[in-house]
Amino acid sequence: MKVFDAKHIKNIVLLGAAKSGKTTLAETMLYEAGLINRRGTVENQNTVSDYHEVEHERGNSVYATTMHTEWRDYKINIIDTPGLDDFIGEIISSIRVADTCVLLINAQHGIEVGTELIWNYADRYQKPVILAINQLDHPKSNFDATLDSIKNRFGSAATLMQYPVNQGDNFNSIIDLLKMTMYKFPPNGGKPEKLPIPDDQKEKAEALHNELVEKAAENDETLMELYFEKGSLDEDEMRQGLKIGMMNHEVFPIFCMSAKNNMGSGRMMGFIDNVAPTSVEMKPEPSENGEVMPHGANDPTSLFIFKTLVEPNLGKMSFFKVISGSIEVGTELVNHQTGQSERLNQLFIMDGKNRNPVEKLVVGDIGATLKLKSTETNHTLKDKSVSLAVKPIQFPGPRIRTAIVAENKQDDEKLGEVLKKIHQEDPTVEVDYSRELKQLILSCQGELHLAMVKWALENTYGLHIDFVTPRIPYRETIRRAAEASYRHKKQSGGAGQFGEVYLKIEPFHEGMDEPTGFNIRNKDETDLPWGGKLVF
Amino acid sequence: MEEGPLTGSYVRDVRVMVYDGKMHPVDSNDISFKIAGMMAFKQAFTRADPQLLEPIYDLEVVVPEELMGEVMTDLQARRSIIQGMEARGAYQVIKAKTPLAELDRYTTTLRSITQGRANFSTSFAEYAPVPYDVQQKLMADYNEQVEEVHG
Repeated sequence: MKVFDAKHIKNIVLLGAAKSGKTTLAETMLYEAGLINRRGTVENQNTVSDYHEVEHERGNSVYATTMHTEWRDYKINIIDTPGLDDFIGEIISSIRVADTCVLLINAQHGIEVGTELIWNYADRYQKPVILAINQLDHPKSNFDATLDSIKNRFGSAATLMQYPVNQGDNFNSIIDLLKMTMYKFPPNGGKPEKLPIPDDQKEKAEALHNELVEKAAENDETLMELYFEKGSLDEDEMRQGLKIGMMNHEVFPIFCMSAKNNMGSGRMMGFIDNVAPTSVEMKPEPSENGEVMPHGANDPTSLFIFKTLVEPNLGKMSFFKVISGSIEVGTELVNHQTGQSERLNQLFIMDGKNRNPVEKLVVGDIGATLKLKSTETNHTLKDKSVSLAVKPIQFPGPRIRTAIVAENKQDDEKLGEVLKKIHQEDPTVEVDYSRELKQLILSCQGELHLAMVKWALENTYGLHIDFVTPRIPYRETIRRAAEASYRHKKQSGGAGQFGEVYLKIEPFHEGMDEPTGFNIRNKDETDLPWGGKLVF
Repeated sequence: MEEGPLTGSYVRDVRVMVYDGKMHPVDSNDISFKIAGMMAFKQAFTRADPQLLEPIYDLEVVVPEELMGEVMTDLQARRSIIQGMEARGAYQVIKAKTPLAELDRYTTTLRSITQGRANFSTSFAEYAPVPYDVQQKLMADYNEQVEEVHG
C-alpha cells in the first residue's frame, strides 16, 4: 500500500443526527474512489462501516468506524460515527482525532436536536466543519427551509458553495458557486456532466458567487486587498481564503448531495483534497499540562490512542493517530501513563472490519494495531525522548444509571470483569460496586446505550443479566433526644450471654458542645469505616 | 448505625452516649453488649422522632420553548421544586431541585415528551427530609423486605 506524506493525508469525521446518511455517504465515498466496486446499503446490512452484528440488527451505527479512501493524490481517512447521542463517547473521540468534520444535515428536517448536540463538540475542539445537506433526492426534502435553519443556527459563517437546481425525485443537478459550473448527474449518479449555468439560473448564481468571493476574501488581509484591486478572486485565492476561514471557525462551507444516489460526494471529496486542512496545518495537539506536543515529521514518534475495540476473535485492537514523527512495524514505544514498553508488531489501515497491513504510518495518519498489553484509550505511546503526553479526551458524565444483576448468581464475578472490558472499549460506560447500596451500578448515556451493553453481554460474552432500579441512598436521622436501655439475656444452656446497656441519643451537628455529666478520664477519637466517629 | 432502623440506610447526625450498663460475672462478653447496644439504639431511635432524608439533585433541563409546559408539568409530578427559568437562544433552561428517587429513567420520559428535543444534566445538591407519607411507605417496604429475608 502506498505511503502518503503528511501533506496528502486528510482526516475527516462524518457527523450528524440519526438517519442523516453518514454510513451511506461513507460507502459512496469509498465507491467513488474505486476502493469498493459495489455499494452496500444499511438496509441490506452490507456496508463497510456497519459490520458489527448489533448494527445489522438495529439498522444504525453503534461504533465509530475508520475507513480510508484515495481520491486523486490524497488519502482521506474517514471516520463514520453513530448519530444517536447515546453513543456520544464514540462521536467525541472521533472528532478529537479528525481534522475536518463533515456535518450531515437531512434535507427533510434541517437542523435537528442531534445535530446541535454533536455540533457543540465540533465547536469545543474548534475543528473545521463542512455542512453537507444530504437526501436532496427525498420527496420531502426542502432545501430552502434547511438552509434557513442552518443560517439560523450558524449565522453568516455558513457559506453556500453549491445549490440544487431541482430536488426531490428529480434531483440531478447542482450549481457549484466556486467553479461556476452546473453538475448534472446521470440517473444512477457517479460522474457528472459539466455544463454551463443555464440562463434562468445565471442571475442567482452570480449573486451567490459574489457572496462567496467576499466571504473568502474576508478572512485574510492580503486577499482582501487583492479583492478590492481586482474586484474578484481566482479559484486558488478563494480556496486559500476559505481554508483560513474554516480553520478559524468563520466559514462553514455548505455542500449539496444525495449520498444514496451517489450525487455530489465526489465534488466534496475534491474540496476536502484541495481545501480542508491537513493534520500538520492544524494547531498542534495540546499536552496534558497545556504545553504543545511535538508535531513535526522528523520529531520523535508519539501516538495517541483514541479508541479501543475488543473483537471476540482478535483480542484488543487499539486505534491511534500519529501525533509526531512516524511509526514502523516492530517499533518499541513507551506508554506514558503506565511506563511499560509496547512493541507494535502489526500496523493496519482499517476499512471497517478489513485490516490492510502497512509498514509505516507518518505524522497525521490514523491506524490501528493489535495486542497492546497495558494500553488503553486516552494513553500516549511515545519514543523515550518525548516527555509529554497528549491531553486526554474528556468524556461526558453519565446520564442514566441502573443496577445490574446476573440472572445466574454464579456469573456475578465474571460480570464485573466483563463490564470492566466494556468500559475499556467505551469510557462512557461506567461500572461501580456500591458498598452502601450493595448493588453493582452501571452508568451510561441513555436507554439505547444500556440496551447495547445488554446486547454485548448476552451475545458476545454469553451473560444473561437484568437491569433493576438502583436503591436510593437514603439517610436516617432524628429530630429530638431519647433514651433507652436494653437487657440482652440468653442463658439457657451453653455459654450464656448477658449484657445491659443504657444510652441516650440526640441530634448532632458539627461544633456541638461536649456532653456533660460524664466522668471522663481520657479522650480518644477513632474514625469508623462508614464515616462515623467513635469518641471515648 | 450503618443499617438504620427505618430503611437500612446510613444514619447521620446522631450522637449516641452510652452512660450505664450492667454485666454478669460469667456470661457477659463482647457480643452480648453489641446486641444490647444495638437493640437499645434501635429503641431510642424510634422514640426520637426519626426522619428519613433523601438525596436531592440539581436538575437543569434545556428544552425548546414550545415544549416547556409539558416538561414543567412532568417535573411537578416528580416532587420537584422549580428554582428558575432562563432563555438560551430558542431554548428555555429550567432549573429545579428533584429527589433522586424521582429521577429514575428520566432520560426516557424526557425523550418521549419532547420527541428527543430536550436535554438535561444533574448533580448532587443536598439531603432533605422525605415527606411523611413517602417515609411511611418506604418504612413499610423495608419491613416487608426484612420479614421476607427472616421468614
